[in-house]
Amino acid sequence: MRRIYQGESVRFQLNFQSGTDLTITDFTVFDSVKVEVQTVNYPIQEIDVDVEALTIKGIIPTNVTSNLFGNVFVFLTFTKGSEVWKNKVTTELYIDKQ
Amino acid sequence: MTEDFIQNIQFDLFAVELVIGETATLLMAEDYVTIREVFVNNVKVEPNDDKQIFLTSSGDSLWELSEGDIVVPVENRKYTSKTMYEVDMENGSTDKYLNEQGDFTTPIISHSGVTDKNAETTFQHIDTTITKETLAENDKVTIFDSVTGKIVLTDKNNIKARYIVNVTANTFVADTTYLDFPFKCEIEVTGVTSANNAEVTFSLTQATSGDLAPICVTDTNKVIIYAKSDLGSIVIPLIKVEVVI
Repeated sequence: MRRIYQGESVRFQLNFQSGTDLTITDFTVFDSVKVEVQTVNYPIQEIDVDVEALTIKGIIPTNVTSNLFGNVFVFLTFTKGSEVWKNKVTTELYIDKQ
Repeated sequence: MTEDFIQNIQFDLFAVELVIGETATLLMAEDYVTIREVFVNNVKVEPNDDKQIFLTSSGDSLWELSEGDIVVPVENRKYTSKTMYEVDMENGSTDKYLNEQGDFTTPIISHSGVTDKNAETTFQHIDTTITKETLAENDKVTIFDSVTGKIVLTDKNNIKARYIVNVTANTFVADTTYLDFPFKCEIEVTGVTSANNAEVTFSLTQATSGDLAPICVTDTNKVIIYAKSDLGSIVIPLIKVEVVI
């Protein structure tokens, strides 16, 4: 478990990995990608990300981490037309108080 | 600059088969597997606000009770019973039949379906009970093969002894082989050679008449009997032909 403190920014990267759904060749096939983070003590927060073919990069800004406490969960929403894929990632990141 | 965390994301397909009993509630577990679409009889079914899908069994509406608690099809419904064989024929599987155990998928191996009957290890397919007095040219006969322990078919010429009954002898001609019996009759018996020994069993009248010689001779495809005179046409009860080994 990686421990950081409130008020510190967090960099993260999501790597595309080929699965059995062959219609999904990379992240660019989606019309939109939404990334949200949450800890148990604070409402879900949407994060701006840079979407490339094989990576999604983003930063949880300091003003968000300052309100988070505990294990960080990342919620992913991929939209393609009327189809929606959702996933929840449990990270190895723990935000502690200063 | 390194990331604080890196996560791999992949998209997999899942095949979900639902077996519905009396009632069923399909729970949509969003955090783990999202069931995106549900079709019932090719009609898409949408979940309710609680993300539940209720699939009703239509069995109750197909039948109704008539007088005397007799279940009958509802109005505008018609049901036809078909045998499993008929269903199988409709499906194009002409090589499958219902066997004695009610197993529809196991074809029965019939006698006619066994192409190499002598190779069959469990059952004997040769009928050895048929009695046949004479053999035609293309007849096969059954013999016990002491090597394989099986009863097999073989050409009649491979049989060492042959029994021919009620043989007509009607062509007596003059012959000088035996002085006391100056006529002979050549009886055609296919397959006989001079290497064969033949035994002719005359009837009591024929044997005691003195008109016929008590011996016979074999030659290619014939058995020769001798007589004191032209006897016209006689019927010999039995001729036994065997190979002298």
